[in-house]
Amino acid sequence: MRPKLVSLKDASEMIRDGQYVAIGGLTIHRKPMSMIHELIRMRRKELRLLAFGGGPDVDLLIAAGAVESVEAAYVGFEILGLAPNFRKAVESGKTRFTEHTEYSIMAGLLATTFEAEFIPSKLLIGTDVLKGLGYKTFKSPLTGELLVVYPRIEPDVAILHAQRCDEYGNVQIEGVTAIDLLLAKASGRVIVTAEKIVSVEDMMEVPTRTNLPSTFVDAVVESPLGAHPTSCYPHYTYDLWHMVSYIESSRNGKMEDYLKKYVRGVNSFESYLALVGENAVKRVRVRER
Amino acid sequence: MTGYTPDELMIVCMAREVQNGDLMAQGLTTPMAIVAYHLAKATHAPQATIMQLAGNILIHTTEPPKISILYNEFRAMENVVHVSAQTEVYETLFKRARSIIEFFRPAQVDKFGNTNNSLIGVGKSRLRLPGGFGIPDVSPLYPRSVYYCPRHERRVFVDRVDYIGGLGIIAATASGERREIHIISEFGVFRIEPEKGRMSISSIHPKVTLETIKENTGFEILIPAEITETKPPTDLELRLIREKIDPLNIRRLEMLAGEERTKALLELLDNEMALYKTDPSS
Repeated sequence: MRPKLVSLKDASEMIRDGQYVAIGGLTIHRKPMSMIHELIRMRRKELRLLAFGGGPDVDLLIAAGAVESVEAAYVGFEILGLAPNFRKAVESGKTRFTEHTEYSIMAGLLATTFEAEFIPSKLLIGTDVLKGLGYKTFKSPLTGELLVVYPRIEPDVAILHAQRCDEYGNVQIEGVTAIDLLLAKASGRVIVTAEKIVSVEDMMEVPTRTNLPSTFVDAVVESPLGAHPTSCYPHYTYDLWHMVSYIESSRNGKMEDYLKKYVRGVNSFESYLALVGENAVKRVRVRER
Repeated sequence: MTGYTPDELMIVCMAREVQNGDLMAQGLTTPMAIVAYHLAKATHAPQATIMQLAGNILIHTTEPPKISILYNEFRAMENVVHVSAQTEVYETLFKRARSIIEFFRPAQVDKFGNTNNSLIGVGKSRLRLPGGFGIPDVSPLYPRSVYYCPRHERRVFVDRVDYIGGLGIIAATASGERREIHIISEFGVFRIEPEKGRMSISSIHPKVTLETIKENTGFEILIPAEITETKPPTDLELRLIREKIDPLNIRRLEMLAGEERTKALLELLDNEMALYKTDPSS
């Protein structure tokens, strides 16, 4: 095992303009927001995003003009409603959106990890989702039944946020894992930001908690509160207050002000957290068990 | 207890759809569904199990827990028996489709039971919604699907959905497919007639007229010879909803939209924070 601990800036250098970038987490849960901020500061552009359930991650990158296209099964802010910048960009045709389902994403990733050219299945036949995906159909050589070709999905890079990891990239994700482990396995390179970097000896205490081994990971970054304003169980819950004000910024045509104040105008994620404020951060923190 | 709100009646109707032993799947942003699941478990379906997306987990509870807006995942993790990845959730859905119940909330539903959570309208005035997530995958697999529509309006109950996400029943008899689709709204309970592939009335909620339903439905609904009235909530059901499961009244958010919902949400957050400060275990 080789050490893979790098700075957020160095990790973001691994992602280039135009790349196919998979983002972990789920909607407003455990999104790698510190990395998203860094990509915006680095002025990355024409990124092609893949998210299982997208939220503030996809929306903020779109607002910053960093995105060419989005593939996702859902992009929204859950109980807070629509993702404002995503919605505007897709409705105006500025950003190309391909709607997937949970199955179409998982099948494509599984085809990659299992060294298959595609996965054949009858799911989604008759739906407009399949039309939008433009996937081919064929007759099964076994039964003659009509099947959909779910081709491989192979992102260039996956970015994930985890609770714990060691310097070698052994990762422990808690709570909702969504499809993060699968994303990591199917992507060319994997960057993990973590609440805490711990010693490999600590990780060895309960090895069954390590759900992503270092063999799949290329870089690790320590990033406490790195998922803010999304949640990171068991450390902090989502900052719904911040997300409400974010949505209002977009609604009132003040998105550039938001970006300038919280992302482009600061030099680090720590500075962003300082702007959000100690009390706001304290409000979402959950006492450590 | 006197009186009840439309969301409470809907939750009770939803809970009644659960059978004892069902695996109850919960997707994104559906507080009414989670209240209904806990209600079913606390009444007629104690052996039902909740499988929650936020956590990809199986939850075991003997007493209904208080639901939370801020700590949804945290609360669920306190009662977890198994944590998995979403691939395993699908393995479970495929293996156990026959005993799964999942409440979907469509933005549009048509007379065939097709659902749409993706695109509303055509051309330049198209509204882009978050997306169907898993609904298009699993809806044809479940022998029994239940949708809930808190707002029974013409723009929700449409002749044909603008985009087919979840599949309804169109040629059920031709394919020999046996599926049931039930739709619960603020005005009544409906079903798709498997023989005709058309929506009809199962029961009308108390104090709602047939005219109201017709006026607010964007297609001709089949009307049975005899119309039954929905059984109102019992005192026990109301007490469980209001005192045990959802004392913060999170369920109400689903009846609201836009700024009204944001305002209600911020109030709820204050109430939950106040509660959390005085009793972090609640």
